[in-house]
Amino acid sequence: MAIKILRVFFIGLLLLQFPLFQVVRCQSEIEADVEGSELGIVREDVQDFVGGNFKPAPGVETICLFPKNSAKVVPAGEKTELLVGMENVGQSPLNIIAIEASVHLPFDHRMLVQNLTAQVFDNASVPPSTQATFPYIFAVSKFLQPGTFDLVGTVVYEINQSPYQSTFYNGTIEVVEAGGFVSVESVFLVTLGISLVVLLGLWIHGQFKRISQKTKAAPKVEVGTGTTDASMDEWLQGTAYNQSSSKSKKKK
Amino acid sequence: METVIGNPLIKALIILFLLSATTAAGDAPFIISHKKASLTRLKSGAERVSVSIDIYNQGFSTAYDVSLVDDSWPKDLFDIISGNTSNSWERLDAGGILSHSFEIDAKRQGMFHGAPAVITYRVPTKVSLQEAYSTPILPLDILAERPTENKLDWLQRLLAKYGSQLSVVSIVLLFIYLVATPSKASAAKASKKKS
Repeated sequence: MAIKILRVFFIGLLLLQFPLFQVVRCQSEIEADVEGSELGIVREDVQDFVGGNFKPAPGVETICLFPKNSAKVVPAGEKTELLVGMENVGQSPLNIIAIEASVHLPFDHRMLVQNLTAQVFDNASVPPSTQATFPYIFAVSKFLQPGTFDLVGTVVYEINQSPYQSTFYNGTIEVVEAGGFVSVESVFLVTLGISLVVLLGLWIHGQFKRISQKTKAAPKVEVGTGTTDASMDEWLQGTAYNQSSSKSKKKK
Repeated sequence: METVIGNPLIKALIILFLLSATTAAGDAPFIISHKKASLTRLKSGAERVSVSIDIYNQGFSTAYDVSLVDDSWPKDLFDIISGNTSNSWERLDAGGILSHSFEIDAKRQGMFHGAPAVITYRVPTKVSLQEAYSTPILPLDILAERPTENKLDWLQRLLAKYGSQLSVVSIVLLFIYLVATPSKASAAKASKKKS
């Protein structure tokens, strides 16, 4: 009966999964997700600027903030947002071209782990003597191992048609596994733990019973010999035992 | 004797430390503002925009008379439902955060590109009012045509999301049931033995 239930259950599981079968796609999809185009029409000459190495302009200050995330926790595979603050101390307005970032190994900065999607801006400018904030939403690869990594974020901008680049963040981020509390591994682990505890309890209970049986058995044997009275045994009538006891009685 | 020497020395050290801290770090406030707008479709068919603006001070000194003005929602396109598009606070200390939110109803259909909100504040060292801009918002598709979701698609989505967890929990429960309940064959044997 139980085996029948098992069979039906597993067939049902298999059938249920058919609509969910998906070919595993290459992870480069995350990098191909162009969010910059949502903010406006992309400039034609952006490709000349993104990826190049420029010097920072003297009158520009940058700051980075992870909103409501002071521990800089980045769930792998999920979107994380950070805010880039730009202050234009100079005299001429500056136009933001793009914000780009990359993830490196913490102990060796030259080892690149992942290049994050650059966010291009079309009409973003910071007037002189003002501060402005720009968002940067990124997602690290879903298969990145949890741990500490180095995030290097740079903002590319131009002042009077000359390109400049500033690093707004060069520090560590904590990559954690994205996932709920109930996962395949956690359920199995919890069940295994509970079963081990139950097994231990059963073993202890067995041991306890064995010990208590030993101590009870000894007095039982004694009680057995104690309660039988020789004179009460009818089957001893007329035998040698009975005659000897009557003789001893006469002697008295 | 020691306290006489210690006190002026410590005072001098403290003054030196404060001076160096202020000159090395830069003593101006740095205002970072995060503007978020989300759309919700009401049952009446109207589109409600919930706007929330967070203001952080990542600088090293207090910003006074912080005033937030968000004029990027024209009156002919939006109606204010609750809250106000502007607000002002007395001060924002370094490392502090201020929040403001309001709700507006959208009247006309189409793509809307919002401008950043403007935050003005004062610093003791400068005479003029300082300005800061918030983050721009992504273009909002007001009153967009939403394709009606099939019941099957919704079920499929739910299954895809929770399918693995559901199956693993059910496997474990079934195993426990199998182990805990005796099978009918062994129960029959036991009853035969008794008789």
